[in-house]
Amino acid sequence: MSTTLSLKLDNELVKKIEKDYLQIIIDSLKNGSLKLNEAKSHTKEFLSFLPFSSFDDFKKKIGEFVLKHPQYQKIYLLILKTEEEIETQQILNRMRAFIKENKFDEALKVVAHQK
Amino acid sequence: MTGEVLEVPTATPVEAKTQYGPEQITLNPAEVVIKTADNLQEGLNRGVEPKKLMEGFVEGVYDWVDENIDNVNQGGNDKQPGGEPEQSDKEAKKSPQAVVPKEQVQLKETPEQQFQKAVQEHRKKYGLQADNLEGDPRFVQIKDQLMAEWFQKNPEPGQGKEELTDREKDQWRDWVNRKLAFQDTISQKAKEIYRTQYGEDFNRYQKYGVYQSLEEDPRFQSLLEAQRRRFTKIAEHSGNIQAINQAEAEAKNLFAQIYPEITKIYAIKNGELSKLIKNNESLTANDQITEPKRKILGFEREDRTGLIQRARWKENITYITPSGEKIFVKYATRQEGRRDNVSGLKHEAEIIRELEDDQIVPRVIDLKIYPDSKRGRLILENIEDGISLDQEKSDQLKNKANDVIQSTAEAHSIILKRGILLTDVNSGSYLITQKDSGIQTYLVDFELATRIEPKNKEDEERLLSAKEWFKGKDFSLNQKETNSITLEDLKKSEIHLWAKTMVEWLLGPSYSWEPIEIPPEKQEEYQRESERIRPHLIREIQTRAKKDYALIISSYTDFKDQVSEEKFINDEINRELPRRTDELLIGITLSERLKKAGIILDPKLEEFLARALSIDLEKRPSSFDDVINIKEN
Repeated sequence: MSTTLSLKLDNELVKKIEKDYLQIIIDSLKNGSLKLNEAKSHTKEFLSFLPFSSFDDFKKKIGEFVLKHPQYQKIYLLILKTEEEIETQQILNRMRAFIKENKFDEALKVVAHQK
Repeated sequence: MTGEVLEVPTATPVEAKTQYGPEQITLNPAEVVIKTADNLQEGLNRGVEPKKLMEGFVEGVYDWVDENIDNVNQGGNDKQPGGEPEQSDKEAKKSPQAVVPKEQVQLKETPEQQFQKAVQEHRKKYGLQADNLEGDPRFVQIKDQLMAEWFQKNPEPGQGKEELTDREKDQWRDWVNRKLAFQDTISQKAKEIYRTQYGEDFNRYQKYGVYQSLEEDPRFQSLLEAQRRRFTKIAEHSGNIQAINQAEAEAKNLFAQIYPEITKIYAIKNGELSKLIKNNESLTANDQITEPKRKILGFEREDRTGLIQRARWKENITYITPSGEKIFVKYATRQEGRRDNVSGLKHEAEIIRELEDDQIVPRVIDLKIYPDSKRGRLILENIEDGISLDQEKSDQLKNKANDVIQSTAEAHSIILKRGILLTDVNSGSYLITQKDSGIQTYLVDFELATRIEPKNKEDEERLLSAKEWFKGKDFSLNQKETNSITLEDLKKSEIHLWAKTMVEWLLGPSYSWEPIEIPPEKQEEYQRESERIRPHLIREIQTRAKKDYALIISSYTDFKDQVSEEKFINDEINRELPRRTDELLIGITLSERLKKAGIILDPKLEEFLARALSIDLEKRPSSFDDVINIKEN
């Protein structure tokens, strides 16, 4: 059984990240922690990532971006959290399917193979 | 506090001229950055696509530059209010709403371009200086003036310094926080000033102002909010969360009816709205009277349709005749697959005529059913200064709560004694007037009224429907088989709904969500009654939750993998059971809830309400006599 879970890219999540990114920009401009030209330069860089081809592409690009600009770390953490939630859900779904068919060993293997 | 250096921008200040005086207000570049951030925030709040916002931001569309201020002065001083509107490039650039995404500038006219064209034509037609109030240069100027005044009174600490001390940094941060707090209130203040100075234009924007989409339109947002509140209430009462999902559709429907021209513009970019418009147009095609004219044959027209009426395809209009007499007109339009509200209007006229002599209903002046029976019109006496209990301004009557409740009971008592049940008892059923002689109640909306002793087959059908109606609204009646419901039960249920309406008016519709401490002497009764109703309530919640679960998984197939039906139902029971129990046992906790809300009622009136609210049918009163006696004694 494959242990790699390929996640679908959710447009809503992308939008949420974009909004959160903008909110960080707005807050940072207001509290003076970011200059206008810096904010624009970061945004230009962010826009250059679009569109994302897959969830992995999305995660990778935002991860690299956040590494360069740690003030946006929050958005990457949100991606990681979402990823974890989706993966957990997928694992549970698989387990449920096995348990429903009384295949308890297979159900346990789903978890074992994840780690 | 760290030793960090807070950078203060030193670029050339921006000068802002105002129409209020010759002085020049200097905007510090830090302010320019904050204003730019505000523009961006406004776009985000208005729901502009984040990607478009980012593109606009990078291109400088949201930058606050001196061009903005020049433009404000141009608009504010050179143009007369309501004059020929012209939108300059600068103005279009300034407004976050007016951003046309780059990718949409093509040779072939895109929906966005068609939309912008329609907006321009609309502005020309109604003499709007800008698309909407928020974009009006004079409004922007007022906002600027308010902000400038604030800056004059609150100078920026450490201005001009390249480096600030820790103390100065703290002062500067405090200053920024105070400024942000002021900015939060500035729009509302500017609106009030604008309204005073340019009342006519203000009203024009209220009626004809147009935004970039329906969703960005504050009038739609208000409707949506009101509908959400209404449907949440319906959902709470009916226990059907599906009702909440209808709020947006109903809000769109209402918006399309109230602002048909603006809806047409929004529909250019929104297919769903196009369908709505077609539907509405087919309904009003043969109806000259509903055209949005202010005067028809010398009659002045004022639309007083409430949200609920509009949702039910009804309209309430007040006309002032050329001789100055006011009349109130109710229109009903029959909708396929919905309750026949046209025959309801006819029935209403009959019932009101029966009650006219008692002076508790507005007099019927005329009834007309149009030849195709799809539309009806009922002209009623206008109740001058009548306040409906579903209106916010009815709050001002709460200091006369005893009189109001007493008066509603007296009016309601008369119809019960005449063998008529209002049936659809709700806060909109009571119209309160204040006269020198005291409070007087008029009963309105008799569409579902029922004769306790049927005169004909129609009455029999209405009585049967009424039983089902009451079962849906009254938990205690719902425990009975329909054919075992007596006429006495129906009267008790009608008075129960009256009491519920009064309590909801006094305490607010969501009182049951607020926990209440039950005094020791009532705990045993509360516990006993809770146990008694518990199995019924669990069954009720289970049934509803099952339906909701099926509804959710029909839309979100993944949901069943996330939450099992059993868990969903159990969660719903845990969440709903305490609230529903509190709601049904309000008769027991009424005095505590009133006390908590600071409301003092006549003890006898309070006792009557508590009895009427009881879940035990046997305990409930079947007439208002005890309330009438309070006054007489």
